[in-house]
Amino acid sequence: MIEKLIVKIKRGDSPLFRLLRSVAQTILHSTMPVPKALKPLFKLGYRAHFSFIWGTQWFVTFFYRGPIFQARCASVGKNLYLWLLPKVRGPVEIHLGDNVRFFGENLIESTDLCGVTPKLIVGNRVDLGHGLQFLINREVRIDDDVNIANFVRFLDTDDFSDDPNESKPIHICRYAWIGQDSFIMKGVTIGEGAVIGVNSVVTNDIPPYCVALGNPARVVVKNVGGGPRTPAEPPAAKAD
Amino acid sequence: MACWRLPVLVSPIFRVLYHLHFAIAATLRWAYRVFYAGPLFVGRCDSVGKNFSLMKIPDTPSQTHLSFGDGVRLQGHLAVASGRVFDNPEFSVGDRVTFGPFVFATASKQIRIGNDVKIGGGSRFLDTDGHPRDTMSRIADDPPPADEIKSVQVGSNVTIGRKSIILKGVTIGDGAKVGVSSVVVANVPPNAVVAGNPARLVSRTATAAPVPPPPAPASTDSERQ
Repeated sequence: MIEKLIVKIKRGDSPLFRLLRSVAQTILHSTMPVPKALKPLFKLGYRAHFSFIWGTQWFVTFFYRGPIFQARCASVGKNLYLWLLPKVRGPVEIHLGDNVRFFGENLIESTDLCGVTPKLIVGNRVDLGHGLQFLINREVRIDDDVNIANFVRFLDTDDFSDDPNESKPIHICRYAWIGQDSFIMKGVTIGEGAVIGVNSVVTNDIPPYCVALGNPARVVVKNVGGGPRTPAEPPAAKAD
Repeated sequence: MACWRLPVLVSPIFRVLYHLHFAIAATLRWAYRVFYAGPLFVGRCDSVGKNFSLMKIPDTPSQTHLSFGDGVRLQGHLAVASGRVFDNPEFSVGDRVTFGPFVFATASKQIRIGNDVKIGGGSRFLDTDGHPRDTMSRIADDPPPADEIKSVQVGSNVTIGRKSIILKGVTIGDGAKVGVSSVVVANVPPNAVVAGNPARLVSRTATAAPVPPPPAPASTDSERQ
C-alpha cells in the first residue's frame, strides 16, 4: 500500500502525483535559506561546530586514548602524536620511535600462527595517515622519516595461514613516501627515498630513489628527489 | 537469535510500524540537515545556489573559497582541504552537480567542476602531491613548492566513477567519462571514456563527434604526459 503509493509518486503517473513529486523533491533537496545579514553568524556556527568536535576529541585523546595506546605498545619514543585510537588485534609487539604521528584511525591485525611474535617496528619521525591497515604475521619494519598517506594497506601475508613460508616480512627504508590507497604486499622491500604513486599495488622490491606506480607497481622515473645522498646529520625534529 | 514468529493477523500492523520506523528516522535526519547542517554550511560558503541539499556537514577546515551552483546535491561526506601554500584557494562547483559519499578534495590552488557533473562516492581531487618531490625538503616537513601545484578543471556533463582519483594539472573535457577506480594523471579529451591506473583512453561516448582518423595508433600514448 505505502510502497505502491511511493512508486506512483516517483513515476509521476498523473498530474496529482507529478505535483506531489515536485513538492517532495523541493522539500527533500533544499536547505533553509540563510539571509545575507545572518551569514557571518552561521559561519561562526560552522566553526563552532567543528571546534567543539575537535576540542572534545583532543580532550579524550590527551587523557584517555594516548595513555592506553602507549600502554599497549612495547616501546614508545618521545612526542607521540595521536588523534584516534588505533585498533590493535592479536599478539603484535609494537615499537614506536620518536616523533611518530598518527593522523587517523588505524587497524593493526596480527597472529602468531608462524610461531614467532609478530612485530611492527616504526622508526623516528614517521607520519602515518588515516585508515591504514596492517596485517602482520611476521614483521613490518618502517624506518626513519617515512611518509605514509591515507588508506595504505600493509599485508605481510595473503591470508592468516600457519605455513611459515606464506608470510614474508615487509621493510620500508628511510625517506620513502607511499601514496594514498596503495597496497604493500608480502616480502616487499621499498628502497630509500622511493615514491609509490596513488592506488598502486606493490608486489616486488622497489629500488631506491625512484617513482613506482600502477597495478602491479612498475618503476617509471629514476633518481627522483635529488637522487641518493647521505645527509651530514639527521634532520631536526619536525616543526608542526 | 531466532525471531518471534508473527501471527498472520497482526502482520499488517507491524508492516506499518516498519515504515513508520524509517519515516521517523528520515524525518529526524531531514530536520537536522535542513535546519542545522545546511544553514551552517551555507554560512561557510562564498556562494550557494538554489535547491542545495546535503546529508552531513562538509568538513572544510581551511581557508578555501567555496562556491556551489543551483541544484547541487551532496549525498554524504565531502571534505575539502587546502594546505598552506596559497592564500585564496578556490573550490567551485557548477549547476546540478551530484557528489557521492566520501568525496575528498585537496584544493591548494584551484579545483573547478562544471555543470551537470556526476561524481561517484570515494572520488578524490588532488591539485597537489601534498609533499615536495625533493627528498630532503619532504622529510623536513616543508610544503610543496608553488610550481608543483597545478589546478584541476572538470568540464560539463562529465561522469566520474566511484573511487577515482584525479591528480594535479588534469583537465577533463566536456562529456567525458572516467571509469571506476581510475587514476587520471593526464588530460582527458572531450567525450572520451578513460579507465585504469594510470587512466588510458578506452573508447568514445555515443554522443561524441566523429574522431579524425589520423593519428589513431599514437593516441593512447599522447594522452599521457
